[in-house]
Amino acid sequence: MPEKTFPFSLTKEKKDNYLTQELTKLTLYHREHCRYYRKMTDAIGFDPAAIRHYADLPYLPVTLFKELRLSSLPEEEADYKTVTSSGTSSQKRSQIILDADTRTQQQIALTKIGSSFLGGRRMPYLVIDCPSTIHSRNNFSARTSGIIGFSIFGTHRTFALRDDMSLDLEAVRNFLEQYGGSRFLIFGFTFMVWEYFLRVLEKENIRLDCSNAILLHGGGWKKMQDKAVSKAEYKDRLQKACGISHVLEYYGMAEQTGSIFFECECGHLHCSDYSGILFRRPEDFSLCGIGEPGLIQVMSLLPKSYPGHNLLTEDEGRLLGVDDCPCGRAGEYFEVIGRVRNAELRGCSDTYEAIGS
Amino acid sequence: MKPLDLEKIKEMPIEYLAGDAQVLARLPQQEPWVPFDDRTLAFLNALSAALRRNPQTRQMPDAASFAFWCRQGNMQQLKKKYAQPDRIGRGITVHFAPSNIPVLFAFTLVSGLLSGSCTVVRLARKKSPQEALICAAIRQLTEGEFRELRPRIVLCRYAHSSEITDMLSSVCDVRVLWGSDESVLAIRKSPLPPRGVDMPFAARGSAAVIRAKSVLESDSVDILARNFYNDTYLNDQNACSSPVMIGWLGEPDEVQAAQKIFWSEMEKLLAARNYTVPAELAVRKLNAAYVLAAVCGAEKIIRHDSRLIRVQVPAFCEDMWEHTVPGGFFIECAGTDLSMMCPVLGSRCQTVCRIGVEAQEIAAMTAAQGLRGVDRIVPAGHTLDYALTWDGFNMIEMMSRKISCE
Repeated sequence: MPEKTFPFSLTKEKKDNYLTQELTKLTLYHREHCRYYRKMTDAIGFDPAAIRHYADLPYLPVTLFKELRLSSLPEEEADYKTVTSSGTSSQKRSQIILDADTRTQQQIALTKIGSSFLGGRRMPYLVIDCPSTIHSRNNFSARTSGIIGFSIFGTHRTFALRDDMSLDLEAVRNFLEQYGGSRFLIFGFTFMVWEYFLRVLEKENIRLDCSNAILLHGGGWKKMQDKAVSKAEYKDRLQKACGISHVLEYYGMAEQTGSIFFECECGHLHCSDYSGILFRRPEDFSLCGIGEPGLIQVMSLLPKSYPGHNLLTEDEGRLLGVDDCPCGRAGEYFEVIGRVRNAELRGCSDTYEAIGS
Repeated sequence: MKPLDLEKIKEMPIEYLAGDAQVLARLPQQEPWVPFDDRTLAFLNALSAALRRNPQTRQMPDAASFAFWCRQGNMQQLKKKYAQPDRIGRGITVHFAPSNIPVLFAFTLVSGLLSGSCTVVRLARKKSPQEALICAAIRQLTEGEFRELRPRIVLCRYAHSSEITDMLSSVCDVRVLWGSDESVLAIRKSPLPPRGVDMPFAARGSAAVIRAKSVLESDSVDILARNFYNDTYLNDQNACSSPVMIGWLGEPDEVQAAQKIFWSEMEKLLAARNYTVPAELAVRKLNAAYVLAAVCGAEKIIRHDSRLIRVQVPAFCEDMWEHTVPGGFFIECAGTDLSMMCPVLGSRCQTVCRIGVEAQEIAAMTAAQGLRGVDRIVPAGHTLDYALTWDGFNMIEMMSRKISCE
């Protein structure tokens, strides 16, 4: 078995101690620096003396960033940008306050984590998205930060789509002619790859050879769930349409910098030394056992500019194991089941019908 | 009056659960009846009997309570309360039913018929077994013994279509709108005839006032809790009339003791009824509690489990209405004076559920303080009761006209 190397080196006991100590510090830090965060943690009776394990620390619902602007930066601090999460499926967008320091830390973490799965060498980089996605300046979307973030693994970045989302076949063919002969990277949001790349190739019967590609995709299965496409079918059709055999999925969210989880060679998502992950039962938010599905809670040591270090998501997943994945990486490995469905309630208010549905 | 263009209506994608395109086209030709007309009451009594005879009704408590509500005895009582001399139905009423109280369509239909008007109900997109049961009984009766009612009732369903809503609106004298603010406003874009009126039942919220002493001195807190459960959890606390804002009257130590007794009784009940909260809602409730702590001054979030979340605030404020969530979410405030309720008794507030407090006391305060809310004050266990006076409207008066005789 390969040696446990950073950033997948901490085994359970070490990681428990480390995260408990560091996340407690971060919790106290944000209580000092973010007024809202202090009020919220006061309201649940947060008591640092009662913390035995990082699971005891307060966590915020990830949806909170859609309603509140949570910042731990001084008011006059000008050096920050706001990232808005994809929000493609809901009307409200999250506001995430990032300063230069948190961004740098994030980039470092992404490089370390990503290299473990993609190797240390940069590869030609084909983006299944349009150039205009990265051109908005202060209002970053999750797609923007994904494209820019993963650029550190790539060279010769090429956009496969035009700004009207149509496939720029000429650009793609040129890219493949130049770089398709050896290993290269394709990146895109799960749904974008499906809708604007794969489906177009299929419909128009276009033949491309991407057999040397590693496809890295992520960004939620919600839209794909609606289309009822399974992961197996997704991979299968990509293989048939353009010969992609190496598909890597990642899980992460704009609301928590530093937490990015890649799929390993065994098809398991891995939690790095930078992050913690827990699964909670919806009925009382108690912790799930191994294999038991629950709401995913993610923790990261990186967010300093805003209190996003400990978040409860609306995604459902399950822990598959700790420290013993055959791929050799230490830490938790898990799978994401999907976004929890909107509750159907009895009662009369606000339920009449979505206009235009 | 001229009938509507039958050919045009026939082309519209409308599904009829009672009546048909022809009945709809000929509505303008029907005569209005007087409120509580004997023919209407006989029909309703037969509907009540038919539903109560059907063993399926016993499986559906809400359908059963509708059946019980339209029985002769109750209708005679309502007649005494609401019938007035020299009144006649306005003509045609068109009702837009909400989707998630399955039997509300039937109550609103009956209120239209009782007024003496012909009644069209546009049913919500979501179908329910209650709806199927009640519609079948109405069809059977109006095609049999009660043919006189057939030309006066249309129950229909259609996918969002402003063309159809325009057509229905163009003939109606009174339009009754149930639903969210957005859906009510969307329908109101369709013009009414010059003399047509709207009776909108848009999004509201409700409160409760509990005198701590009455809980402490009660020897039947279990019954009290059961009544309050029926007011809230029975409909996932998602009805406009289910209380969310809870005011506790009493000295701090009394209130604390009363809350402990009351909520632990509620916990027992939630466990006994096996009430469950979907994951998405569990997160939404936590989210709302945090927002209240961050921006509305909430001091304490008490999470028994995901079924029961209480957010304690030092004082109520109007903004809190923007952060309520259904499914067992309560904003609590304590004080010795009823006036602490005032900030949440604005136009958003529909019902006040009272426990250990006289209705008159609350009504008097509402009038004295000039509050814009509080249309209804009821004891625990009755917030979901259907009444012909709703959101401050006397529905019979709204859907009929008074012939002034001098």
